[in-house]
Amino acid sequence: MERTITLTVPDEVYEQALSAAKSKRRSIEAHMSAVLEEAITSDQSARALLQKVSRSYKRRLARQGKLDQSDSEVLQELEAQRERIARAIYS
Amino acid sequence: MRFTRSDWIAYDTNEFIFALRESPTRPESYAIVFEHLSKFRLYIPYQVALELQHNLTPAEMRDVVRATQTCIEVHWDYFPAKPDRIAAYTAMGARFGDAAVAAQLEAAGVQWLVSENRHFLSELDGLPFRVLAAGELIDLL
Repeated sequence: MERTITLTVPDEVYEQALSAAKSKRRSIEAHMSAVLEEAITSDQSARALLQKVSRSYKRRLARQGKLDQSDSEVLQELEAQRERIARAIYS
Repeated sequence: MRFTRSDWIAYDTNEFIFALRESPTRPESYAIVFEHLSKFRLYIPYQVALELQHNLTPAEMRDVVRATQTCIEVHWDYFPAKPDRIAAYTAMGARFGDAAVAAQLEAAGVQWLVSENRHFLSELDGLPFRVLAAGELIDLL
């Protein structure tokens, strides 16, 4: 099933889209539809990757007993880590 | 200072970490990493890249790098900062590691840093980039 939507875009974006559509020998409607589909798919795949990382990271934190750290504990740990890493690189 | 889509923006390590922890008290960090990443030209300083490598496994790191490919443009910087610029920022009152990040952002011409680091947020004047918390960035979108 297909749905129709109306887009309102600035002149500059319209001209860029028109030019890209022409270079690909397709209508601006077909071009915008492809761009939108690609953007949504790309966003979804990025989110899926990050969710995978998050699950794995949280499992590790849970094993280490760190999942329930407070925000300030997390920030303190990151700040201490930053100092250690920077001094190791630059000293 | 107004945010535009052509500006370069850097995320500090704490934004990625709070997002990946899905911290219930930091929904803004989650939002900028999971939902808004593709809206930005994202710069990752060497220092931040090293810190992420320290906290994540190589496989997790690869997935984070792949996820950032959805940004308008992304630049993972693997060059260290210049020591004289780090010294300049430490003289301004920055902690050594924060000074390294500031020196890298300055060298790369990055306009914005998103961080929950209270030192960056409140204790340094005269930075060549603006520091925002994740919630403030969302307000600008």
